[in-house]
Amino acid sequence: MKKYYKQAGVIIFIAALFLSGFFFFNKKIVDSDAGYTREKLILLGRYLFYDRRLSINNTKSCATCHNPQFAFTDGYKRSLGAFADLHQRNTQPLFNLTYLKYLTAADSSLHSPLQQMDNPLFNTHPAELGIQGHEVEILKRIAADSLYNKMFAAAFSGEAALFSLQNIKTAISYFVLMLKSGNSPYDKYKNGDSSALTVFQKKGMQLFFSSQLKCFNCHGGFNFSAPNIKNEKGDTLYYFNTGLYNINGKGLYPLYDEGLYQHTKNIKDMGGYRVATLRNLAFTAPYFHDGSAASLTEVVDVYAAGGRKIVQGINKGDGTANPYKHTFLHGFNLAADDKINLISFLLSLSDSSFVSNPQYQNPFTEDETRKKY
Amino acid sequence: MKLFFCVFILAIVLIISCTNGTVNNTAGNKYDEDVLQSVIAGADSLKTFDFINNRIEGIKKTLQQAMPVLLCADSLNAAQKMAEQIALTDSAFTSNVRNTKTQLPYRNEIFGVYPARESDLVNTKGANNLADCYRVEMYNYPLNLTTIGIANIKQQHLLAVSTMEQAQPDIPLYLKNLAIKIAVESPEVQKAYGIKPAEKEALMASTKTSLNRTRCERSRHLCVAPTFVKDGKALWAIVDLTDYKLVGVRWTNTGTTGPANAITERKLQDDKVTACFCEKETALEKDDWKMNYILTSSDGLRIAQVSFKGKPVLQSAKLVDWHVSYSGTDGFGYSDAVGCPYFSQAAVIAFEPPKLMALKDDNNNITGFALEQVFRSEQWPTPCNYNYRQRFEFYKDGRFRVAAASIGRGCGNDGTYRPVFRIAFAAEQNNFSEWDGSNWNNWQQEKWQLQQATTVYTTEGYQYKLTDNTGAGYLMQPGNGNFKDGGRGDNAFVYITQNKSAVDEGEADLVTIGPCCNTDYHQGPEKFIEPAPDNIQNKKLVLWYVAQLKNDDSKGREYCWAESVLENGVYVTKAYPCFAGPMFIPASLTSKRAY
Repeated sequence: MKKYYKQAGVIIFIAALFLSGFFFFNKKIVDSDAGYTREKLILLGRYLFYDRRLSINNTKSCATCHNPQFAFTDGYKRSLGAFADLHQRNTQPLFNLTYLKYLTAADSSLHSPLQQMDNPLFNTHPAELGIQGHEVEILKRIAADSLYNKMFAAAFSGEAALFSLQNIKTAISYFVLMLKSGNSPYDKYKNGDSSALTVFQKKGMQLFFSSQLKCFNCHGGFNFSAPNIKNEKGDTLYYFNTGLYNINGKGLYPLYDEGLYQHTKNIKDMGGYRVATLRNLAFTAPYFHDGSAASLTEVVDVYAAGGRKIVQGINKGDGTANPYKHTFLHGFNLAADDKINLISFLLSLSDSSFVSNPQYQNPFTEDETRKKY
Repeated sequence: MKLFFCVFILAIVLIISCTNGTVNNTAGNKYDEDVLQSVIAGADSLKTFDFINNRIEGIKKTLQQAMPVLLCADSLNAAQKMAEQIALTDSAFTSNVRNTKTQLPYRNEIFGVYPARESDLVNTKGANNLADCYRVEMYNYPLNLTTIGIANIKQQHLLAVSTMEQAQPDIPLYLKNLAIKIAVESPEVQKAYGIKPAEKEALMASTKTSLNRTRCERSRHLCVAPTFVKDGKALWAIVDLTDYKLVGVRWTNTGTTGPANAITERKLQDDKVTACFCEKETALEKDDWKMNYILTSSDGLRIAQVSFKGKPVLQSAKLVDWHVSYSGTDGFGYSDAVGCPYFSQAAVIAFEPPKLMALKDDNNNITGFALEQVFRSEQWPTPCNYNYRQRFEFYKDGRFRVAAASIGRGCGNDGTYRPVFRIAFAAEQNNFSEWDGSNWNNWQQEKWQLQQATTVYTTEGYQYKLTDNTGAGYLMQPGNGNFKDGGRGDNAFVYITQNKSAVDEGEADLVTIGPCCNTDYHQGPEKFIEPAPDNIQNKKLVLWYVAQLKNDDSKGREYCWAESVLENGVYVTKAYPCFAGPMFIPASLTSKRAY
């Protein structure tokens, strides 16, 4: 009997130790400095993301081109910088970034928002926010705001130099990395609500995943942006020439944007672009890397034809015959009804709760550029 | 103790009564300093400019008068002044001059007094000589509300009064010049432009605008944007004329395709032409069609009493507004009005008389006729100048189409044009239904809907049906790249409203009814639906159609665009119109048809 008591005591002691450890570690996770700081960083990043004082002339913020109303795009074919200079590309949406291997449409060296953010901040051809050469002036503007004094101190406690571009980028990174979208009608359908999709959308879904169209081969995964096409070595391909241009029949793309080729200088990468996510298409028109398709109907027509034929102008050429176009893209036949069904399905991937999420909206209640200190 | 308590209460009451902010002015009218400040809020920021100070002092004096309305500052002749005075003595016209509860004055201003036309008299009773009638437009700044009165100076009274919320009349010349002055004198504009721009360089200064995250957002304040073009870009100086201050500067890219040179033609100001098409309606009878048409002050070319083979078809149809947006994010652009220069300050005016043209099929057979009107800015196709074409097509078989196009070039190469059509049907008892892929679904109440890539049409391309109980009426085919006019699809908002005989919901000339830059259904017509949609079963109906057209200057894909190109040693203008608008097909025509 005594032995049993001893054994029970040991068990109770071990259990108590385990439970105390469990509660201790859990408390540590919930209340940890890291978690606390993360929330502060996200909030600070949200403010900075919407702050037009981060542009040289107080007219642009990250949110000018990445507007939540348009799933963090801007509705332009190609975006405009602080001085209305034309960017080479259509603005990419910002959500589910953790699902992306590469962070821009055609630069295989950028894997994080921290790296990517140098482009909009410091680019000079064209100037986007136009900070280059005005870094001190911009930092002074931010540091002069008493609200930021508190927020930077909370987010970067212990650091000697609170107001630095690195800290600004870090905070904005935290904000953009938490932008999550996954509550579309399609997601609800996948989670068991069979009524979330219409009959047309269900037919479109069948087409999307069919062996006839094989859309899912490139637009795979949760984010509909993960390709499952490999090269002869067995490596997954991430960039594709889809035959949008074929200038002079030589496979060329417009000089202002030649895709991955601009980064690698390998002619095989001419017109190569990252596979775009198909989520939130209802909010992100116009489409393609240069916004050259105004509607989803145009987009589907291009893929159905296996490329785009441009019959006049300086970009004239038969994209279907582009020598660098991936062989997977050879076109398909689609009846008019099926085209509508397919587009209906694509639109069912749009998450209206995402674009209206209050946590993602502009936190400023007044014009921040006219704040008096 | 009780005495002390009573004294304490009395003291509190006295303190409150002494600090309620109201004062009695010399005219005996009460006004509240806070209200006074609120209606001219923000003016302090520009008090360094004398011209603003003078204006503010003028407003303060006016608000203390028994009739606290700023008179039209533009030069008016004796008849116009009389019309203005008649309006100001009318109780209905002045019903929003003061807050009805407190009797405190709102800031109101007469923006214009124009000769009336037949379209202004649609809601009046009795016989009136047009020459005796004037249209008086008054704007209420704090309520953002427009009041329009039709005055008969011979009879010395108002024939009709209408008010419209969230609507702004054409800007008077005086305010246009004030806006330009604020723009060029503002340090922010001078810094952005590099130098102080000259006042004469300002374009589009009388066209209403908006800007998000300012008081100009969604046109809640009266705002305009004098625009200065430089090096392929346009600098927008967005001026709040409610607060008299610059609220922001923005740039747009005006495109680099080809030099754009102005065509120096004489604009429509010939008295004879004005008298023929602006002052009175013109009757037209052709190919079994009958109608009257007139150039309105700001609703483009208006057709009315349209019939085919003696049967009434349309009560009227017109082009109410052009909403031109250059940024969905910043929400700025123009709320453009097209009209007759003599009768309004509309920025884009009729440039030549209306034209009749033959419509032909692919085999060159004449199938009907079109009535077309060109509206354009004088310096088109240079940047920040506009050219709009309005067209009514009438076919021998009874079909008709209401259409319009932008031909650029505008202030940006990535803008969205939204023409707002109003089409009032003549039939007294109509029903409206939409095709859902297998059936026609009847709409019970006033409603709107957006045409999308997923919209389903009948095999003939019909989306809606507007018929009576006998099945007589029309099928509607929206623009979907199907009319062989270069149109690429309208992506249109369609609104159906009841045509009420007792209330004017746009039958008379309309002021600007919607802000420039909303990307959703808030384009103006919704104000005739919300908040309580009316039943539309067996009713006389109005169809509002707001197409959405994105311009493009990409080589080979130009749309809503224009440029000058050198051909044979001279510059010629190349135009790329983006036609939009629905076709109506008599329900009795059942055969499939190519357009």
